[in-house]
Amino acid sequence: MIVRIIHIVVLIGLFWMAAACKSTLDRKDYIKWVDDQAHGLNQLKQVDEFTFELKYTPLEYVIAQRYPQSCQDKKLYTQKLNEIKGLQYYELSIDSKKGDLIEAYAASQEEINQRLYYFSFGFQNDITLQEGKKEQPCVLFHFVRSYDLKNQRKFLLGFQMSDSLSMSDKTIGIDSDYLALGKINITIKSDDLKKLPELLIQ
Amino acid sequence: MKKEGLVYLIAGVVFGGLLIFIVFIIVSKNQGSNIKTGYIVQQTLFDEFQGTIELRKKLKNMENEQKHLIDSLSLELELLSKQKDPKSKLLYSRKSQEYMQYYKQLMADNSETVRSYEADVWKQINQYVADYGHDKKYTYIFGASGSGNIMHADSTNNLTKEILVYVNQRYGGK
Repeated sequence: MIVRIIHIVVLIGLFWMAAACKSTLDRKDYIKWVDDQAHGLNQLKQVDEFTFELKYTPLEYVIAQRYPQSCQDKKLYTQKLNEIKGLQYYELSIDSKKGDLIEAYAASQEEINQRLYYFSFGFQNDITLQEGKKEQPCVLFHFVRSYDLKNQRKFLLGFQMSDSLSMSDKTIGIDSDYLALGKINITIKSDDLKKLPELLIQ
Repeated sequence: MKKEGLVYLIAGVVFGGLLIFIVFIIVSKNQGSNIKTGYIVQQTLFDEFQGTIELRKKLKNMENEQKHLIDSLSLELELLSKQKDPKSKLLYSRKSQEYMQYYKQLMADNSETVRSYEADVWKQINQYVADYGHDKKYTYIFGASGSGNIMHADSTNNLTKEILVYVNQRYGGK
């Protein structure tokens, strides 16, 4: 009986240790892991004709994407990490069934220009990040101009990183009159953030 | 032999037809019993939706800002009305007309803004209710608005509370 109990305790302990250990992934697998919607850092939300895709991009992901060579050089990796730390980064994509976000909703060239100007600059003021009870503005914003035939438009967002709230739920709020949907909230759950693997630096 | 064959053929066709008919009746009956319906009280859902609550706060703030502006304009008019010289009287008459026009326009704009924002909120509610219906495999979810579209419904089919929890969770980004 005692032996059985010891076996069960050991098994539970091993299971707990395995669950607690973070896996380490190489650059390609790390990017794939973050991109995979099943892991919760890449969220899709559909409202009316719009589809929003919000991806939380950890610092390691940003480095792995922008400076692939740094994943093979610890010194370079640390240098790049120091350059971008202090902010938390997100990628927001908006797709519409009606067509292009800028042109399909405009009746004239003037309106196209107005919408283009808004999504290039003003849209930043309509995006916030809620962490716990703290709401903060978007401090880094870049509208990625694409010239392909897709309706999807991409925005890179940056918010101040708060160490005490780094592992809490992160809700991005988008409240734009140009989308005419009211406020759209998309949450990256803290449980999913905790599962984030480590990036292998060789 | 030929006659016998014809009889068999007719019997086969009749029997086959009968079999298909019976299967059809059974399938339709089963489909009927699988219809899952419910209803929501639209006004309650709208009023207690977190998006509406936040929208009302936003509109209240907008209203307060406008009130400050209107108050300062009416104070300016009041001061002008106390002036006795003809030039001030003329200015008062012009300004009061402008004020009335501005006030009317503001009220019209406000109603339009409220209507448009409410329509925006409904877009989200409609999407989340549709998602709920899809997730829970509802065939129909009716909206009771008190205008006669649903005259009676068993309250056990009232999904308002359940859906309210769901739509508020979805609104919160979950």
